[in-house]
Amino acid sequence: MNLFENVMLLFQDGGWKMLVMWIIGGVLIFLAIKKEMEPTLLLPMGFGAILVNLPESGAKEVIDHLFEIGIDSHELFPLILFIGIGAMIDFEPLLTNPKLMIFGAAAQFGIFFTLSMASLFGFELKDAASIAIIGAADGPTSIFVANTLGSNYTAAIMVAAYSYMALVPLVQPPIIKLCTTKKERRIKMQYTGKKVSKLTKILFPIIVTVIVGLVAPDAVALIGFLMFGNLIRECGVLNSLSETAQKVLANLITIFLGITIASRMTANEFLRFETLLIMGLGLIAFIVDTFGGIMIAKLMNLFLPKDKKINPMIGAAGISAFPMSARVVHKLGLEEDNSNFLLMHSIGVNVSGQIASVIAGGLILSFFS
Amino acid sequence: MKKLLVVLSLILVLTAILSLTVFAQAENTQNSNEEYENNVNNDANDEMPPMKIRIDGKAFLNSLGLMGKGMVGIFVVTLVIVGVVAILNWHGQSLDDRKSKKQ
Repeated sequence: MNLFENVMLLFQDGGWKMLVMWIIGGVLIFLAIKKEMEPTLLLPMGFGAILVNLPESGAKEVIDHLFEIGIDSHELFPLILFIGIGAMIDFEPLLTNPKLMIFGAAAQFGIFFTLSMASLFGFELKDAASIAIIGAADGPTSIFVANTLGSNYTAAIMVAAYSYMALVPLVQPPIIKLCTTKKERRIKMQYTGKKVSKLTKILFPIIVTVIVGLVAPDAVALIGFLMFGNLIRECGVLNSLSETAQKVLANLITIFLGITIASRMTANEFLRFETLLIMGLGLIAFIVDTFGGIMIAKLMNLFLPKDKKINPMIGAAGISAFPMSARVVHKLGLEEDNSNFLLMHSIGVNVSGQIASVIAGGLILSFFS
Repeated sequence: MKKLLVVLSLILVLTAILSLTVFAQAENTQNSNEEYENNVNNDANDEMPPMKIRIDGKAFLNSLGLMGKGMVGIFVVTLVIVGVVAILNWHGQSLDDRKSKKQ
């Protein structure tokens, strides 16, 4: 009898919305398994979307509780995940050529541009800022900012952020080609491969934490956990902790994070016109980020001697989607000239984008604190 | 071909959301009207009110200030970090030079 009642719920008022959410969940699972697009997150999110949209779902309470303890109260999951990410990142390509950080900063232009665009479309300022942070191309930062600002659209923002991160190989190449000439794409850059001292590698995470903490105190949790992970990696005496953070810790949190985000993917919250608008604005953020990175490289080229010109494509890697964006730039460089290796430069820009996106998130939070 | 499939599937999802949300919005509006008329809107307060999409030029102009502040802020912090890293690198190199001279 109970089974019959639950099935009938699907065909009553609003029941069709649950069916739509099942389809969306199915598509996310399909993209994760068949297309291998960010499977670590899209798969739990897809399954979670089905789980919370079952009539009278008993799982909803459990997942809501996970959301409360893991995200709602002090954003624990994204912060702990940042320890793992920090332990995975090697900042050496950036440390050998620190000026690459300028591209990372310029590639955050999309965030602030989208903030204005979202305001133009009538979103409240805190929602506009949360939507804009999709341009950080960094899932944990997006979750942290959207949740801290108490946005009404957390689920749509999460889905957009992770979907576009997975779509970087599709979104970026046309924009890069549109903004650069063939001649520019063929510019070769020498990689000096200078060695960075161990002391520099150890001091870097500490100093960055202090600087960002002083300028944008609201971002200190994000940057602090990221840099703590990196310090574990670079100190040289905590190898087993570093390995645990990179593999076990990051995987464990990713499992919970994906399914926890799904708690906000209920039909009533997700099936709204704003969701579509947020997806569109997220795409704008990614496009303008790419544009910003390329343009600053072009600007710098105006002042550089002929033999030291920068391949403007590497500016596009400043969007933080690590390491997809760096790979895209490297691949495009090889397409133009099969002896043009841009990987080390683009990786340097990519990791600087990771830091810059966290700083951008912190600045946005400081505007509202 | 694979890329095309991915793009097509995404377009499919977006179209599905769009068409269904339009229906959902219409349904919400109808429901809220009825609720208003019947003066029984207690439950409706639990859900997010439907957002009115409008072009808000004033909010846009206000946000331009934030855009400027944000970009200036991010470049200042970045330049400070670049400077510190350059000093660290220089210090590291000079340490290496001293070591190699001793050897």
